Amino acid sequence: MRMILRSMARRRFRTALTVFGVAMGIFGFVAMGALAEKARIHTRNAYAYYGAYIWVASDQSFFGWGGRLPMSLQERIEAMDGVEYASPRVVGPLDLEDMVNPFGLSALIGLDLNPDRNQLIMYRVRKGTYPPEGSRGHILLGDMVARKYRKAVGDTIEVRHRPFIVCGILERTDTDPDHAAYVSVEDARELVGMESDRCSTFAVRPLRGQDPDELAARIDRDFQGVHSIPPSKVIEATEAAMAWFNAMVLAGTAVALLASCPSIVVVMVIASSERAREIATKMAIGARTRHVFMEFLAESVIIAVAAGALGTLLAYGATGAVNAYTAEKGAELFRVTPRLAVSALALSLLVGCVAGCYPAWRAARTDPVKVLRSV
Amino acid sequence: MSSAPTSPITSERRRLVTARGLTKEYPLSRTVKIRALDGLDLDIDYGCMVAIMGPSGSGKSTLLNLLGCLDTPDDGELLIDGIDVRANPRPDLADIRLRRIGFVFQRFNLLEHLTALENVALPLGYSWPRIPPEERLRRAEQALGLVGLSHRLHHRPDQLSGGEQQRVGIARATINNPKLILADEPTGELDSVTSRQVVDLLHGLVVEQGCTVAVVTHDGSIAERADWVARMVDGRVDTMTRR
Repeated sequence: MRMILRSMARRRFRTALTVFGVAMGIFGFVAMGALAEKARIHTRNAYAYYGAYIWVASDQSFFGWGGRLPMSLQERIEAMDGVEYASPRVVGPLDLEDMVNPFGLSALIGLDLNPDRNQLIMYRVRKGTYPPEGSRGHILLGDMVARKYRKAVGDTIEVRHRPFIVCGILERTDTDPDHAAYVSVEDARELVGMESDRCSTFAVRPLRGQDPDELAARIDRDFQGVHSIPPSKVIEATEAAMAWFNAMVLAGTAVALLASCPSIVVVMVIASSERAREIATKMAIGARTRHVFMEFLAESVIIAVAAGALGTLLAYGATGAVNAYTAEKGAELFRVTPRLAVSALALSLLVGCVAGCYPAWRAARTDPVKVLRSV
Repeated sequence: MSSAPTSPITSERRRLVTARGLTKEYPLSRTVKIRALDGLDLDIDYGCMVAIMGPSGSGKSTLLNLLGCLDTPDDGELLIDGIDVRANPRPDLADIRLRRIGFVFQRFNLLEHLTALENVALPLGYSWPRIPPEERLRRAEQALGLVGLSHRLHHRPDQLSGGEQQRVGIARATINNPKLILADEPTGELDSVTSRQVVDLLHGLVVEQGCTVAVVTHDGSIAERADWVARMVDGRVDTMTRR
C-alpha cells in the first residue's frame, strides 16, 4: 500500500487533478442525493403527520387553502359512524410577503387547542409549552419559523400587526409543522378575516378499526361541496414523490459515474504506458499478472475512494452553507444523511473498481520481452 | 556456419540448463517473420559462469529471454533446473522466475521511487506464502551488505552512482537465492573500474554461493573471467569454449 501511494505521489499533480475531477462527480451525486434525502424525509414525515387523519376541505380549496367550511359540519361529521372526532383548522399564510418567497411559504394554522384533539400532540415541544386550551394571544412556532424570525420562547412576534407571545417552539419534524406557526382557531379566524362560524378544514380522526377510505368516501357522499383526503391518498402521493426522489438519486449516480470513470480510465491507461518498463521489470523479477492487475486496480480504487471522501466533504460543506442561507428564508433544501455518505463512498469504490479494470488488465498484459528489448 | 551442439556437461545431473533445437521467430509484419533462434543447442552446468557473445542480431537477447522464462520457444526443448519450460503455463513461468532466476539489467531497471532496500526487497513481496515486511527488509539489508552497500540502504536510485545502482540490481537478483542469474550487458553503462567491480561480484556469486551466471556481453574482460564462452551466430551457438 505504501509503495502504491508513493508511486501515485510521483505524479502528484496529475493524481490530484484526477481526484478532484472524480470528487466533482461524487459531489454531484451527494448534492442531488442530499436534495432527494431532504425531500424523502420531508415526505415520509408528512405521511406520518397527515396519514393519521382524513382531511376534509372545501372542494373549492387547495388542501384547505382558499376554501371555507361551515362549523356546523363538525357536529354532523362527528355524528357519523366510525368517527372519533373532527377538529377544525384555519389555514392561511403567516406573512403575506411570504407569498413570493421561493424557499417556501410559512403557514399560519389555527388549531383546536384541546389536548385530546390537537394534531400536533404527536410532536414534542422543544422549548416552552403548547398554547394552553382556551388561551388567546399565544403562538407556537415550528422550528424553521423560529429560526427564520429569530424568535425564542417569551418573545413577541407580530402577525399581521397583532402581537403574539411565543409560548413554545416545536421540535424539528423535518416536515410541514417546521414551516408553520400555531395559534387558537379563534385567533386564526381574526387574522385571516374569517367568519366565526367557518373554518378551512377538518382533521377527522377515524375510530380504531374503521377503514379510513370507506369513511372518506361516506363523507364525500353525504356532504356536498367537500372533498376528503384519506391516508391511502397520502400514501399514493408519497409514493409518487418517492419515485421522483429515487429518480433524482439515480440521475446523480449516473452523473457521478459518467463524470468519474473516464478520467480514471484515461489517467490509469497513461500510467500503464508510462510505467511499462517498471511493469516489465516487476514481471521479470517474479510478479505475476495478477500482481500487476491488483496493483493498478488498487491505485484506481485509492484515487476513487479519496475522491469520494473529498466529494462528500465538499458536498457536506456546500449544502450546509446553502442550508444556512436558505434557513434564514424559512427552508432547508439539503440533508446529507449517514446513509447518503456511505452510499457516496460505496459508489466511489464501485467507480474505482469499474474504471480501474481496463487499465489494470492492459497493464497486466504488458509483454516484458518487448518492453525490455526497447529500453 | 553449422550449429555446434557443444556441451560442457559431464553428467545430466549437473546440468542447470538443457536446450535442444530451440527455435524462436518474431513477426516483423503480418507476413514477414524473423527467426531469432534457429535450432539452438546449449547445456549449462550448475555453478559456472557462461559468457554469451556474438554480433548484434545473433540471438543473444532472445536466448536470455528464453532462459529467463520471459518468453517460450516456438520449438525445441528447454529444461531449467529439470523443469520443462514449454510445458508450463504463464503463471508458473512467473513462479520459476521468482524462485530460480535472477535478472541483472544493463540499465539497472531499479524502481526510481523506491529506496535501495525496497528495490532489493521487491521480489520477496511476490512470494507465496507471504513473507512479512520486516523479514523482507531484513533479508534485503543482508543482500545489500553482501554487495557492499550497507551505507546506501535508504538512498533512491537517483542518489546512487551507476556502479552502486548495478550492485543494488545484483542484490535484487540474488535476494531469492536463485540458481540461475541472467545478466544482459551488466557493464554496458559503466566505466572500466566499476565494470571490474561488478564482474567481481558476479564471479563471486559463482564461487561463493554456487550460482550459475549467464552473461550476455560484448565486454572481453567478462569473457576472460567466465568458465565458458558461448559464441552465437545466426541464432545458434557456434562455439562453446572452456576457459
